[in-house]
Amino acid sequence: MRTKYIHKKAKNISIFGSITGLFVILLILGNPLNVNAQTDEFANEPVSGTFETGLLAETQTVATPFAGEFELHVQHRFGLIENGLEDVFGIYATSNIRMGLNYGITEKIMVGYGYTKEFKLQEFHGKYRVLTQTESNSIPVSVAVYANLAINSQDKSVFGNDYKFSDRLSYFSQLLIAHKFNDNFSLQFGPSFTHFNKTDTLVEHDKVALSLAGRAKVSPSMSIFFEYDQPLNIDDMREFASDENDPEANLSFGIEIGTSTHVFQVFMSNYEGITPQRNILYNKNKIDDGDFLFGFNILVRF
Amino acid sequence: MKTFKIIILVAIALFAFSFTVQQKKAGPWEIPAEYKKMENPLANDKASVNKGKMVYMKHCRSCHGNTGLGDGPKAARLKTFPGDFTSAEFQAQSDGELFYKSIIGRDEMPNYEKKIPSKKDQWSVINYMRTFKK
Repeated sequence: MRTKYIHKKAKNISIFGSITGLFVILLILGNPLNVNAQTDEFANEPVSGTFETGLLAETQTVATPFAGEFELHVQHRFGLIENGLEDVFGIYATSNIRMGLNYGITEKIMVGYGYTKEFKLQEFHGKYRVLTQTESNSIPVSVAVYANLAINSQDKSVFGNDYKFSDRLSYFSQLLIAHKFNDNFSLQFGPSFTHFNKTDTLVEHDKVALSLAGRAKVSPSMSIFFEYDQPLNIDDMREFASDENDPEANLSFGIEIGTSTHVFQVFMSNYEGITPQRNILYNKNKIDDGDFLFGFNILVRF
Repeated sequence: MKTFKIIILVAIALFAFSFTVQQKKAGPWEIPAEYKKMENPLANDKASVNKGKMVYMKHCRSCHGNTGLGDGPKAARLKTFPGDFTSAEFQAQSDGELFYKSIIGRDEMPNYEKKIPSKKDQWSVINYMRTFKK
């Protein structure tokens, strides 16, 4: 049993190392965005379009709505594809849906509200863009902080004995660091912290996770993207001795189409929770087992 | 009652007909002098044209069309013809004039200062529009 832990720990650390390592190497190798002398005029301008929108599949990005702009989100996750034609690859299976509204208070601050069907989650969130990468790379990365609070609004009998309102609350916070390599390619690295006030039996209350996401344009309005999330299931950080309830990593990949007023993302993913803290702490779908599902995000700006 | 029905039918016909009225040609623009003589700070090179194409395809093509003929999928619903960017008359305008019309806008042509916040993106779309020249 102990060997298994050590093996798992080593695996986690090596994944952690590879993700951060890769990001740092890419940052160093990445050519400055502009090498032409004529671009001096724009040297200190913030880069545009690191990501199409503030949401990429399952993760937040460094982007926020413009000041005074609303964004309506419709996020949909179908069932797992495992049953094949029986439920048309999950299309007819039970699905999870989130509707949300974001508002840009200033160019840098966003607030929003959303509700998710599973666990009747009411979610309030906010994002602050701390730094924006410049054309000359004098600021080499865009940095944003994201935080949310989700309220589980199911019947209180779900929470068992000694019910308190605070049992309903869960939190997710993330630091987002992104670099736009050129007009076609951007990468983002995001360590996050998840906390649940009350969890299922033998499920940890806190979880640190890492996410790496990237986007590559394949035509002026279409891109392909990926996202990988690794919860750090490390023994030294473990609340309980058992690793039975350890959450699984996630891989999402798909296509994105962006227009002036809409963004469409269609992808495959292991996550079905939509709300990030549910995904990070409770995901049991394994990449290795092919536990993928279809999902889409639609975003309307107005 | 019969007269009433006829009146209703005529009203419906008129209403339907009002949608088939041809688009009017855009009236002359009043462009401030500062824009008229404004210099394009961005060299018209391949990189800026490529960037401009991205911006154009995202924000402009739905009305102005893939090749700037004003035949995008949304164009038919506009009251004013969005213009033919391939014409000599259009291309004869200065970059500053095009900038004012494209980014500042008026009436049905929306203002894009917020949606295209980067100055570089704003000028690159002007450079891309120059490639429509026949």
